Amino acid sequence: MNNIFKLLPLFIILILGSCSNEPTEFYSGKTINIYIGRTPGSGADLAVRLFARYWGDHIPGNPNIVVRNIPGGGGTRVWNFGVEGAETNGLDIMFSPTAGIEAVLQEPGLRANFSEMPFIGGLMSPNMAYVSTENIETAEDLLSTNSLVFGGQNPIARFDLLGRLALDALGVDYEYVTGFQGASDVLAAVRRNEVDLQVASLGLYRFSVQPLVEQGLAIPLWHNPGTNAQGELYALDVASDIPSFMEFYQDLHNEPPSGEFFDMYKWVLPRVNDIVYAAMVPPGTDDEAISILRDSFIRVINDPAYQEEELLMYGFNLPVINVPEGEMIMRGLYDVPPEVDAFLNNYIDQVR
Amino acid sequence: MLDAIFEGLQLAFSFPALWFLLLGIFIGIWVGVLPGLGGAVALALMLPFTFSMDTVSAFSFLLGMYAITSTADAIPAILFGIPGTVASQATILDGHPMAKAGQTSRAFGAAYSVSAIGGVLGAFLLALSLPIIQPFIMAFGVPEFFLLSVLGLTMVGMLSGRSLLKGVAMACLGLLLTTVGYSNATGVPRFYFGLDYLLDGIPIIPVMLGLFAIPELMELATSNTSISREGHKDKTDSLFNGLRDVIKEKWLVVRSSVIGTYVGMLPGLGAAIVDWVAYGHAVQSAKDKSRFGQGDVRGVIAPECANNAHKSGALIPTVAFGIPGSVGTAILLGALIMKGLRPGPDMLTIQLPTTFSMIWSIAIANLIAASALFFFSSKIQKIAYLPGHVVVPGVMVVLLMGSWIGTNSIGDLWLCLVMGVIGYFMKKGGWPRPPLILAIVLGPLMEDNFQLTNQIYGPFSWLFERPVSAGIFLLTLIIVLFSVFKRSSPSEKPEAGEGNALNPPISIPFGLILLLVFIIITIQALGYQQFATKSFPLAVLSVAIPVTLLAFISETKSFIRGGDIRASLLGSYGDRELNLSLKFLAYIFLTIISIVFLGHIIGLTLFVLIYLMRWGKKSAKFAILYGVLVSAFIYLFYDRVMNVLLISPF
Repeated sequence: MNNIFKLLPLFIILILGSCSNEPTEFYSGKTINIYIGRTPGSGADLAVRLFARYWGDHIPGNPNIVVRNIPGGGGTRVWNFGVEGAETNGLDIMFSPTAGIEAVLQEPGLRANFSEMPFIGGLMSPNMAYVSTENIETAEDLLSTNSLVFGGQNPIARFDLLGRLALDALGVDYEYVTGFQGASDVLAAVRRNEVDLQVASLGLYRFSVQPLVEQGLAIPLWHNPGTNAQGELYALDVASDIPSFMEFYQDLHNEPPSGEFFDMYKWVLPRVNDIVYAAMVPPGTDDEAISILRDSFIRVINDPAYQEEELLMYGFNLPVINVPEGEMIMRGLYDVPPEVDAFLNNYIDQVR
Repeated sequence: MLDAIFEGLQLAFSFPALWFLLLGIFIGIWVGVLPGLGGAVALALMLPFTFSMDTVSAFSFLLGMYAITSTADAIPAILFGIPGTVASQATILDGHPMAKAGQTSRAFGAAYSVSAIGGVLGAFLLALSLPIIQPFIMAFGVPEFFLLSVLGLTMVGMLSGRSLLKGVAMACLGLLLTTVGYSNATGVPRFYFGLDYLLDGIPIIPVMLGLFAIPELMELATSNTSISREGHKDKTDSLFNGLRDVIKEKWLVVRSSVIGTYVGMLPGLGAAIVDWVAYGHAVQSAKDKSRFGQGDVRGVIAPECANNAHKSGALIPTVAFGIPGSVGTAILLGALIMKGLRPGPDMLTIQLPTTFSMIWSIAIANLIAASALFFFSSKIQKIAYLPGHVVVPGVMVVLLMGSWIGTNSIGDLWLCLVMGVIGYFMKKGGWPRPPLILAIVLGPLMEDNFQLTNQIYGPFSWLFERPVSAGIFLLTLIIVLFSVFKRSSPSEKPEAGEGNALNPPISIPFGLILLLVFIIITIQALGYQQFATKSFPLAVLSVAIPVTLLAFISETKSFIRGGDIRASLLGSYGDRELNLSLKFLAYIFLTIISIVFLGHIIGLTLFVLIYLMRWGKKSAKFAILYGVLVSAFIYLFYDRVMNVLLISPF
């Protein structure tokens, strides 16, 4: 009898063990669909496909991963699908550029509420501003020139909005030209001296603009910083060779940045710029699946092989947004004070 | 430079690079043949496989695939009137009529040989032009891009057949379609009528497939003839006759290669434009234009040559300046970076042999692909002689899947059907379809560059300050004046084209509906606050409304003068073919409904079964076998290989 009691804990462990749903079992033999809201071959598509190639190996049970594209609606369709059509069984993940500014401005077409979708992980795509040396020789010349042309893609594009806010905060006299179809078109216009200044992804800078800098045809100005949990801006390590906007402002004005435009820049920055590629699942997704996906997301980020390939692709590793940061940012999209809403709408309407 | 050329050739022919080139060509042929896929999708899917390859092998593989999609895309364009990729839109205008006239092999022979020659000549021209590339590219800014699109639009005159007014009205409709969705200049969504689907604008693939392919399939289904109306192989129909045509038109081949290469070098103009520019040039430079649109081999030679030469040209801004002109070249740029190469002047100096190995890969790929397709053509051309009822279901499945692939939206299928209906009535009523497509291709280029030009250079002073702009403007003016003069000349033979068809009972209501649509759009456009949002649509509408009104009045007058109105109305509306065509459209409508509710595989298989058994009167055994093959193809190819999002049942 004593022996039976001695063995009781072992039985309990065995019974509990057989009842529990091991993470290995959850995804074993299953297929996870990753949905991206861009066309095949776009920058975002390639970034997500790269991540997806490693993700399956880091999820217990090694599920098959399939990437599918749902472009459309200015990138909002995939998120609408996430709340209206995707399964909540942990097998459907939206991993796509967020529509932060669309959510803030309540643009037509976006029906998903990002703050209600469980956040799995996010990647930041750092960006920076550079200027052609055709009209100005040094960064200081920005303040004295009156013929600077800033080129962008459309008034609600994040690079356009951040670029305008930064230039206005600096007090630069510039002309804003918008409507280019893509970042490469703006770069081509810079090369033709039709445009002087562009806000571009750090990837574009590293591979297409840096050769111009080396030839003395362009100078890097600032990189858009990250925002920490306390709402403070911080310089990004991956862009340490380019001053952050705060450092650039300080160098130019000998004082820390301030003013109405800077306040708005600081408000907009985390909402539109910190998470560029966000992985989220439909509301109501199984908690166990969420937990497994979050853990595996981090494991991919730490995988040296993934890091090496990312380094080859961008020239740097994309900074990661963890779950608390991501959730905070997503909540922030729906916490828009009336004065901010009025300012932004008015600011954008001025150039429409 | 000669050393670099030979070193590049050596690299391209090295092993295992050559094997990978062959593999790339094999995949590229499939991608080119199946509508809607396009080279960019294949490149995106195949890019990860190149990570473990050496640099030359990786580029041989990718370029083999990229280069020959515009060779293989001639197959569906000629056989079914369905452009395999956007680069073969103009090929269908004469290629498909050639197939209908029993000249399939001849059209194939011409298309394959000029594709190879265009690819090689493009590479050769590129090598010659390397020293002058930078100033050439830099001379074309936003005003020049705007004027080039205006110049391109002058081709409407050549594509309109007898009725220039109808052609201009159709071009206006095309330009207006491109204004649907977010305006690039202001970020304001236009004419989207509350539909999310329209926010990104109207995608060109479903429009093109609906406008051209559905009417062709309707014709096959209603007549049950083979694609070749002759029913048997014409004695003059051979691949070598196509090759002979190419030799005869050697100067057109050279000129089209030049157009393809240099237009390709201008980032942003793209493959969709180059074939139209070359086609327009072929029509313009021809002494006898009367066969264009009805199966003139020159209408196949020019676009097929230019779209292959374009691939070489497009490589240069990508590797030399890091400025990709399309999604395909953007992926190639990504691959370049991942292989540790940096786009920039180094690619034209230190890395010149690598650049040349890429150019050689394109040239070799074109030669190999053309030879392979020459070899298999005897099998492929047999499709042209199969009964229509056997061809229609398979092609309809590929067409609907091709429409779906772009955005995976059910809206694409509805758009394809709507454009099919419009295309059918346009064809019947003599409203030419090519100007509509041409305008859809040129519209975004025109509006965006017009808005940018105004912002950067101000209104019109640039026209006199920039020599290239002034030159293009002058050329446009000369072409317009020349066309008007020729059209008014009594000795001029009427140009061929769809605008020649006369069917007032269909044409007049179509014109009236078009007029009403333009008026509704005007009211909507006037409601936009921002000048930049409404300026382009209103400018187009200011031409569209009077021109359509004039066309409507002119058609109505000639109809009333024409005599027996009752007989004419009965002839058109009581037409058995019209009734059958409407029934066929109902089949497509029900197929889309069944896709929505039952999913792609069941919905499309049901269409195949019902069409074959009810419409085609085929045996159940044949229909089931066909249906099984179609569902297996959809599942294995689109779902498993391409990972296309398919609607699941229920």
